[in-house]
Amino acid sequence: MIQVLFFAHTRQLLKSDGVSLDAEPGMTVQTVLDSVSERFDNWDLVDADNLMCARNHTLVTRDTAVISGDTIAFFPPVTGG
Amino acid sequence: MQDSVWAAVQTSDFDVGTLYTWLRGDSSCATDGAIVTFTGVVRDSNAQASLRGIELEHYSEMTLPALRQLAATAQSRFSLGRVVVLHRIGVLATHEQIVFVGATSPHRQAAFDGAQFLMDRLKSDIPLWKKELHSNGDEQWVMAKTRDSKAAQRWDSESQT
Repeated sequence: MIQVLFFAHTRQLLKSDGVSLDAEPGMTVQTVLDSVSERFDNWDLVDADNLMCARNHTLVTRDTAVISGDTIAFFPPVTGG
Repeated sequence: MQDSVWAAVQTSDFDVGTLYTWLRGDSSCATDGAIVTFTGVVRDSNAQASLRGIELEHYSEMTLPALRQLAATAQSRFSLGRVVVLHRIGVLATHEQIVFVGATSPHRQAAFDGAQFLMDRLKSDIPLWKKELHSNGDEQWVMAKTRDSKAAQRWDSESQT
């Protein structure tokens, strides 16, 4: 199982804190994103091209491999400071 | 040996004097000759609207470890002595303090560079998001600014040299 989390504007647009996905061989952050996008009717509202992503609390790129037990977070570009 | 990094994420306000005193240290520890600090404060307006404050959301499991990693990276890269990186979360009214970074080094340039690096990377890499709370009751997520990403990328290119 893979836990997917959303934050900030992304969470608000999707009206969801996150979803769970079944892990599949060869998954990457991008394929997780593709799977998630199919679950939300309002996904078009999300600026998916500019989403940042973290795997197990570390920023990663979309070609990063994902395995069962991972937590993948998607969120808009950060704006702290 | 006393920890040389003070990293924190908190809802409560912070006292700049306390943080500065910690950066300065005392005669029992090595004394750096330079201390640079930065404090961020909530503005009372943006280009379009008057603000009553901001709300800061974060990724709680990731934020503090990411701040610690950022501080360690800055320490190593600029040979800093002590580093503070502290960020508040939750609802903050205008004029409240948001963020503090501080860096010490034997000489001033590394301390200036270290503090600048900490803020630039904090604004590009740490999972915090601001929502503006307008005086008329509206709310609006703050969008990332190109100038902030360029400021952070500057350190990538400088690391190549």
